[in-house]
Amino acid sequence: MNDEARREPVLRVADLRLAYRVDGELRETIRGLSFQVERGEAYALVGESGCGKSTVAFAAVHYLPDNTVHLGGQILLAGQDIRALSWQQRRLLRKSVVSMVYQNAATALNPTMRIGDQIAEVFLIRGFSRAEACLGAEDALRKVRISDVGKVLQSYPQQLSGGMQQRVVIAMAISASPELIILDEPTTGLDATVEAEILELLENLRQELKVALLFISHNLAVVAQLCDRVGTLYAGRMVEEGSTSSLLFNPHHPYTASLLRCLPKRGADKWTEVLTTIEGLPPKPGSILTGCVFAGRCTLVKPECRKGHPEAIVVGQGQKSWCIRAAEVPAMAFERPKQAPPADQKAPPLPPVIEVRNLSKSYGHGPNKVQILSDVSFAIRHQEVLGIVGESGSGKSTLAKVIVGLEPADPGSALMLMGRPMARLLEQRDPAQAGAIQMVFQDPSDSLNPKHKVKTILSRTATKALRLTASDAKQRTFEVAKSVKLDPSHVEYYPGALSGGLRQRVAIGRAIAGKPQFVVCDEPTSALDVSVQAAILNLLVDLQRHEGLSFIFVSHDLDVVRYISDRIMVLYFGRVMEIGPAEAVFSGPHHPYTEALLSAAAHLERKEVSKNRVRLRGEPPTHRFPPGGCVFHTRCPRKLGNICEEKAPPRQIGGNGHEIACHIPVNQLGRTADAR
Amino acid sequence: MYYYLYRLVSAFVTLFILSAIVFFGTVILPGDVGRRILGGLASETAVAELNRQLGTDRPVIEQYSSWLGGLLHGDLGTSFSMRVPVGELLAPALLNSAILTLLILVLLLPTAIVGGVLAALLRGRPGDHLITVSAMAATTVPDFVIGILLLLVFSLGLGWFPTSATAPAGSGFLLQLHHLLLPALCMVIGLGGYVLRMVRAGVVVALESDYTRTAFLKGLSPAAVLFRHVLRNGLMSTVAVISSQIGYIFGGLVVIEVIFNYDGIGRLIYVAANQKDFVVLQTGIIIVGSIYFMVSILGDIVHSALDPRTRFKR
Amino acid sequence: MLRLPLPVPLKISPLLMICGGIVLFWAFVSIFGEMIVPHNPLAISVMERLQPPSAKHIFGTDALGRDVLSRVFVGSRSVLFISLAATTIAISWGTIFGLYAGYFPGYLSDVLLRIFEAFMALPVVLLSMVAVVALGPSSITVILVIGILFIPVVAKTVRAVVLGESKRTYVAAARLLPERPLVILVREVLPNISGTIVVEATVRLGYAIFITATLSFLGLGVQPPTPDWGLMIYESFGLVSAGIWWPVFFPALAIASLVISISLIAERIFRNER
Repeated sequence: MNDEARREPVLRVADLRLAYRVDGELRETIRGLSFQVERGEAYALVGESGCGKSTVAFAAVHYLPDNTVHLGGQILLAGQDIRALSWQQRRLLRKSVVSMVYQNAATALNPTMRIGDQIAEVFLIRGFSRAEACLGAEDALRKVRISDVGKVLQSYPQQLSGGMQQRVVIAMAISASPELIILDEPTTGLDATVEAEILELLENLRQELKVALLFISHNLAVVAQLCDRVGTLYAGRMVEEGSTSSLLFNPHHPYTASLLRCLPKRGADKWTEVLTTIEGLPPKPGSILTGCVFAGRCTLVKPECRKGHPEAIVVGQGQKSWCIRAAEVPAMAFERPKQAPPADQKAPPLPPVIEVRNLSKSYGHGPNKVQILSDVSFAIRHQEVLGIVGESGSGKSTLAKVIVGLEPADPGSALMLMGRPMARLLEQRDPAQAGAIQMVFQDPSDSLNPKHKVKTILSRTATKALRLTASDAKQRTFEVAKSVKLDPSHVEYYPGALSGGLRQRVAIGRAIAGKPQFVVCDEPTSALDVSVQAAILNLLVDLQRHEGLSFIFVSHDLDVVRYISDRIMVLYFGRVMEIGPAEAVFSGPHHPYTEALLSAAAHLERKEVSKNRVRLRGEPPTHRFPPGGCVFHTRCPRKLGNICEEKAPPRQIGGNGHEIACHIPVNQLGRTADAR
Repeated sequence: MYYYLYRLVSAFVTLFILSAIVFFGTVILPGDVGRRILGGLASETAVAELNRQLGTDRPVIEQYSSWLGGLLHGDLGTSFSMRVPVGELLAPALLNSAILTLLILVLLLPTAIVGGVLAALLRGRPGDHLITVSAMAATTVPDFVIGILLLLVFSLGLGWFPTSATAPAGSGFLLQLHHLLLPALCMVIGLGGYVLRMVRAGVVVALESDYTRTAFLKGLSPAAVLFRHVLRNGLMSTVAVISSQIGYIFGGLVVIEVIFNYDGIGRLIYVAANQKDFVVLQTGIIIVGSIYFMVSILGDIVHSALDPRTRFKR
Repeated sequence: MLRLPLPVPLKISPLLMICGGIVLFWAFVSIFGEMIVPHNPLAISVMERLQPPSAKHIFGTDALGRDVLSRVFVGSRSVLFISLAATTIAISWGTIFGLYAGYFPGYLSDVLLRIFEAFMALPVVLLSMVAVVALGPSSITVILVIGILFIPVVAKTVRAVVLGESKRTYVAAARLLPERPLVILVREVLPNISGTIVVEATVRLGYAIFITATLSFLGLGVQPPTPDWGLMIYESFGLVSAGIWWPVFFPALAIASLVISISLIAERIFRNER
């Protein structure tokens, strides 16, 4: 490689325009995109789903679906125009210049090939001998901090956990000794503690190997920790670009600013801050946009925004915004949030809406028996929101199903609605009790029957639960549509014709149409973009205040749970680690597991993730071999000793109903420094 | 291991149910066996005598249990019409059918796999449509129609092949092969279309998978991606598919052996059915059923030996 | 933006048009049979035995001097009637059993499945042969036998999709309402599996024709002198070695054209469903 090539950025995208051909018509998805990644730099492309960020990632390695049409511009990878190359030359680039890390590591690895062979393959095609390739594979696994290298080399992908699989994919990527690694949502779908480990690993590898990163993500907080520069993508165009700190803390484009303000801030709650939402929908691929791509949803929009694409305005050191009103954005971004009205006067003491005592759930019999939930007890008061957090395998979704009765709890579990006991299985509850608890599911495209119109879905619930006549049910349908902020015209649609956010509103509408006493929301915003998530959270807060709704909110996202909940319960391996007022759980003293979760969660205000993070040891336990004593002892950073392995921890009760299940005395338990 | 034990036990249970269906289906329905064999004109005493000889004058449950008990002890019974032990009829017929089946598989597997992989590689293009549409057509046409058309064209029209599958006694290997080729081809076309489409489906899934993308982006050559990553995963399911099609092969054998006049298990059962020889019929069918279960369990074992995915379920 | 509940309109390719045309043609001649054929399909004519195709007898005549063309045209009736009737039985009962076994797992469903599996362990040709021998050959027997033997196949397919659908959360939401199980099955699940049932019905029709013709060919289906494709081949098959190909060739072609057309249409509907 000559000097000239060395000075070239490792990736340069210039005025790229791509379209997909669908049913004979061209749908433009990348509308003139330019950016470059310098050697050794970590560059992030962020944006919501459908903005074209993954298309860019795969365009950079020239791996696109057959129906992709190149409309203009070029991609220079290490100074070479990737489209002008022959496929052999492209292979050379993939062998040693660029490699990729994918969103779903489980499917990115070949299920019928041992890990060792899959990594060694990368060395073999670069001309190493078999022995050298095996050593190389071992070395690569060590570089990604896998301790039991010998065992992992001999494993098949499905024998490894999600975090380990992603490490293997990263090991494969660095084995090519590339100059650029493209990471396409590498931590999406991983638990927060695992995500933090992967990000830390990437940070270290970057420093060791001096490799450039192109990091594709929808998550601004994740980007904040790793990247030098960020570009915000919207509808296939760059709308703002700059250094991470300046862009995230001083955004100059209305879209970036709104995106940032959609997220609940660390420690923020629903009574102090209303989340910003972005009205409307992103333009569809292929729609003709003459002006600024964001004009249709922008609160600062002016008539001249619709005339021609705005030019880049330099707004700070290395920061550019493609907005003609960029100068006005900071004022907009720092406008104080509307102060949400405080909670209504406390209602007179009623029995808890829901009370759960000693709830357990297991599957299977005899040696195959697995205990998913053990001895869970809690109560929810009228108009109260209980947030349930936990990582995958914590049993939080099972708990949701068991409470509503979709699956029966184990015998001995007690469930009470308004002080009256309920049968464990839904079908055995009396219809009034059964109808009094409703649920909102994670994926609204799955939870709404695609063959029924919205109005059918809503009015059916109203008729069944409230025993309304047809005309009253119609009335109720419009009432409900209004309270979940659906347009009256939407009720004539089939769910398939609505966007994800609107569908979730319909699902919430269905849950409340029969005026239930209690709603269980199981990860209701996890499948949605952040701007849509904000709208749904605002809606739920609204329903809590105005309709007196009490609900459970299950989520893996700590900030979201903190924002929406009055009280929070932390689950680990089917056991309650901690439960208490949201504020107390966040500010501590908290359970060591909560502490680890809090310190692992990526968030904007903190860049240096690796410094004070509480690390968990090893891998999560399996249900076949549950740990004795405190289930967290195998991973606990503050394990005391034998007592943790032998004795179940006591429930230590602090003030305000804050309970922590731990052997460590409350006054010695930690507080996370930056949680408010 | 536990799984295969379960499969084996459940196969036995299913076979037991099958034996009941077949036995009571053939025996109980229209009543008198002796009358049906001898016809309406035979005298009462002759019918009664025959029933006594055959044991069909006993209560049906007793007949069933003695038949089933015999089967379990390896006693397959005696043919009503030919008065020879059923085993002596079945063994050579099974051997003949096995030879034919082997030839079918030898011809079918390479063609179906190559065709299926080719169609998968060309997916969405005219070549793929041509292959899959012809395969679809070949699968749905009844075997006897394929057989007749082949016979008309290649035996009578062009004279390339004999019309009978049975070679003259003492023929050499090549001559026997020559006789068997046309009947085998008939099955290869019918079943081959099905296997081809399964191969195509499996390979398309593998081609469009994320791990294939990973392999390409490692910089592997297309051939290496195909042979090391795609085929290994894509053909895995075919193994199980083929073993489950053994039942279809038996169904086809009946027709082909009749058309081409070949003494196999299919023709034996057909003749037995026409002569109302219930012992041969019932026993033959139970044997066919047992072979079906054995082969499909074997297919499962081979599949899981090849496919690590079935071994480790997290 | 409004999406219609109807299945997405089929993309009509030339191939699909030809197939549709062939099926419609056979449906037409099976209804109007005797009115449009040139000769009486049952009329025996000793003088005109085994005539090769000619202007008078376009498809020639058989061993009894009957016009093959007329018999092929009218012969579409029995095969279409039997297979349609059998498919109706199989689809209706198969759907009922499939819905039950898919939505109410338990002891009874297990027993049902085991019985279905026993039926499916044997090729349908073989099993129907046994049944027809036991019951005596007739159109009604063939309809019942094929209909019943296809019930397990349909039930297994329907059960598989019902199992999949019942894990979807819209079913959970209906349970929470609470809707009664039967209402959930009919109101919520059934509309979502109707596509599968349509595909299955088309595929079954193709196979029903396959089996009907095969049974006739083995002499176990429709009995003489009714014109029927499989039976015609059975009757004239012995003449093939003497070079008399037409009484066998044309019915064979007729069967092939019908089953291929139906299965290609089924394939297209299936791809459309996904």
